[in-house]
Amino acid sequence: MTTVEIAATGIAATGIAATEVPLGLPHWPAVPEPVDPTAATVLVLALGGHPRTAEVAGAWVREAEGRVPTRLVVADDLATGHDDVVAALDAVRIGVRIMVVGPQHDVLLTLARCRAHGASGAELRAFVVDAEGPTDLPVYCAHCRATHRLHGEPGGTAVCTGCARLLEIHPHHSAARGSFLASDTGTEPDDQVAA
Amino acid sequence: MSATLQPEAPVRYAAHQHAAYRTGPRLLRVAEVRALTTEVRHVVLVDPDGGHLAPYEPGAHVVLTTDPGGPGEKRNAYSLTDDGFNPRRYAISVLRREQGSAWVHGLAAGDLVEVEGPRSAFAPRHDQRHALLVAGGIGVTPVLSHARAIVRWGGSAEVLYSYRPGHAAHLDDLRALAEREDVTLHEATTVAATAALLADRLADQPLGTHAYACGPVPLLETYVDAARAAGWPEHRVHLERFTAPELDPGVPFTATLASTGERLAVPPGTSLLEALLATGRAVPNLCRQGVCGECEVPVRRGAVEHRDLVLSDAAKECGDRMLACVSRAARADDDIEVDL
Amino acid sequence: MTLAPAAPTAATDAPAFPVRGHTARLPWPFPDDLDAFRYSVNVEPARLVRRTAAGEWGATIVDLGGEEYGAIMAERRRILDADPHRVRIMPGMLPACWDLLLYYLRDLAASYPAIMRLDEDPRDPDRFRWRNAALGTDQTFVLGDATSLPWDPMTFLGREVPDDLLLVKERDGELCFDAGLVTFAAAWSVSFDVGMTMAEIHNPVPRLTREGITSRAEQFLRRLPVDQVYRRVNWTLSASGSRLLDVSLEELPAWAGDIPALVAAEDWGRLQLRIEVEHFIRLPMTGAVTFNIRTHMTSLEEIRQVPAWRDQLARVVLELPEDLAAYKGFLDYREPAMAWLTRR
Repeated sequence: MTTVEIAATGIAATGIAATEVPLGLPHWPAVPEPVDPTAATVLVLALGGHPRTAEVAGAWVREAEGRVPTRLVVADDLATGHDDVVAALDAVRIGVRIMVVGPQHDVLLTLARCRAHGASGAELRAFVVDAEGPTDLPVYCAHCRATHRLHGEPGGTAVCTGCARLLEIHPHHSAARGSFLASDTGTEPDDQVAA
Repeated sequence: MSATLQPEAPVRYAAHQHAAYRTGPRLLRVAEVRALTTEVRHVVLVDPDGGHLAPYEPGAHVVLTTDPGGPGEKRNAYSLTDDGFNPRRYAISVLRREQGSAWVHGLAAGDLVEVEGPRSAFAPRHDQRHALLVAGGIGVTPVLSHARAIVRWGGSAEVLYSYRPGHAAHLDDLRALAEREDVTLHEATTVAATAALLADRLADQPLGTHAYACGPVPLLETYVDAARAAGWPEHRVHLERFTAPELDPGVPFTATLASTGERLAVPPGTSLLEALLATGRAVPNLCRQGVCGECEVPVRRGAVEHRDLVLSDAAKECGDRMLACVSRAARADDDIEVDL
Repeated sequence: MTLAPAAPTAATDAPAFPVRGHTARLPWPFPDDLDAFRYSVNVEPARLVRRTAAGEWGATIVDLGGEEYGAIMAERRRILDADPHRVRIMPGMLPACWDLLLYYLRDLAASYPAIMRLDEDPRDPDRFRWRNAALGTDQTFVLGDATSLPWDPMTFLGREVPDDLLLVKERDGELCFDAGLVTFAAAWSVSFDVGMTMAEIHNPVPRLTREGITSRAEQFLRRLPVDQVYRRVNWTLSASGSRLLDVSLEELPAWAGDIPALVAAEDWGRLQLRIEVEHFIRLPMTGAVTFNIRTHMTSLEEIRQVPAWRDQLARVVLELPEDLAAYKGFLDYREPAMAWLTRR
């Protein structure tokens, strides 16, 4: 866990329209979005140890730091990084753009945390390093009424670590919760493995 | 009720059953008139029977009919200054500016006034985590309402009040609120000080803050520019001008009825639907807001300004139909032929 | 808007037996002349009395359910006690919940004066006493004071009325479902959906967004005036072959086997038409809009007793395009079920 403070040296450029983090099913940009030229400050949250995360976060910081006060918070995982992320969200002022990069699981839950702290879509940008195919996702199991880290993809299945049911992961995502909805397939996990 | 129900006579009961939900035009009694400054009077209105008044959202206004029946009859909107929670009184503070407000200044306790509303046009965001409230001059009235509601529900606010010394209505009320830990008041008495304060406070608000401003146009322009310069996304920057925007009454035009050749004059402020109904034609209608699509009428000729949310762009382009409740002729004094 | 307030139905097609109670009160979801159903913003004014082939409905905003009221409320309270996740209120929505509570208690007291009463203290306008003789409730409370009620205001109301309670408010130009108490959901999860925008929630319904219905429904709610109350009737064939109201996603494992068993047994008389009456009210203190849902059930066995209903339901169900029938969940068995219904 490291926190890096970077001083401002410039003023925001203009000209590029802001794009919102899409609601509904997350729609991930294929390449990292540029820093919003209307930002007054930038907070970059780099989550997890994937090399691409460090690369994207570094590029964002280099792009932003020449123009506006920029801060980078690196969190190796959500649990150990929790306090630093919360402290950073408490410290930022309106005018900030929060740019989150990492694996889907961490990014989705962190975006939800940002929203709970009052951030809106216009203030959030995200890039994930595992956009394609099954990956670890935050999944809300309707039966045990809790969010778990499960490996799968929307439309696919995963075994619930809470209630051991074989779940169908719905293509239904809540930005407020950060999770996908899942419910019982009615099949035993073992049946599926055998099939 | 079923025994007496006739198939041709649908029974429909009033929507709201309790008097506290009445918002249509009605007479209220002046309970109190008090001078706040040499130019501002505070007027308190109550139900003549001592009953309930409709609750309202912070920042809402009522519409008063001033000089009713007289040469200066007009409908003026005035912001309510209380928090809107379960009210037994409506309080407004009126700056003497023109005929209408001068009439309000002439009111005395016991007078009856026609009031419509409240109407909400400057409401707070329910999920705001903090509020920056900006008032210029008499624009303090809705700001005070917001501040009072925030205090009632346990939120926090910073209030920025720009005024001319000696002319600051409700300054005492704001100072009293600011004795609480969760309300801060900043005062400015010059244009330069106001601009500096705006820039300073807009740059220092926590995540989840929404900003609201009411005041003269130059103050609002300074506020919007300062918010933009401080990187505020548009949806966090709310403002209200002194007068609430009325629905655009539209241009006058005529409608020709294809079946009879009859020509109807449709003046501004009257809808084609109302004009048709006035002739006794049973045009089906429901929402009268351009949403439900019920009052669609076929158009034979004439360019239409479509103001509805029902017709697709292609249908609007085609021009063979229109929603009589909101849409009008494209240009003043045009004629539209409807297939009725 | 297909269900405009036309003249109520004349009961020309007399039922085979004198219907009472449940069937007579049932909000039959189709107008007389309807043979083909599509999703539409079919709203009409609330408290418009509609005659049906078996009776009439619609005079009140809240339908307590006559002699069924006690049983429905016992089920509602059992679920709320067992599962706190059926209520979710997003930050900043508590004032709207008070707004909702006061509106409904005042409306109930006016609609059901023989059993319900709301006393307002003339000396302290914020102090109220609510009494509901049917359920034995006698509660004094101070409006806005959370400590004066045993539950949050939405839960307090939800334990007095059979309606599922949903509140919608605008955030950043989107209508958001930001508070809800729902025990009788049709295969959805209130705990998951609260906090989402309406556009997000309605994503999976075929034709709902494609035909622009969500945005029109949203526009309607956005512009809902304070001086009118509207309602809308929705329907499906229930996922349970009984009067079970709680077919929530949470309880899926408990009811998922019902319909397959019913289909295997060809026990079509037990199939239930599920009718949802929604009421839209703009609450004045907060501007929140209600999307409250009262769910009714009636079996094919009951529908078969009313010839006009029997024939119309069969026509509507069989005519429905495949995608909508699949969404409503009865694509696989609608033909044998409707054949049973119309067999003389």
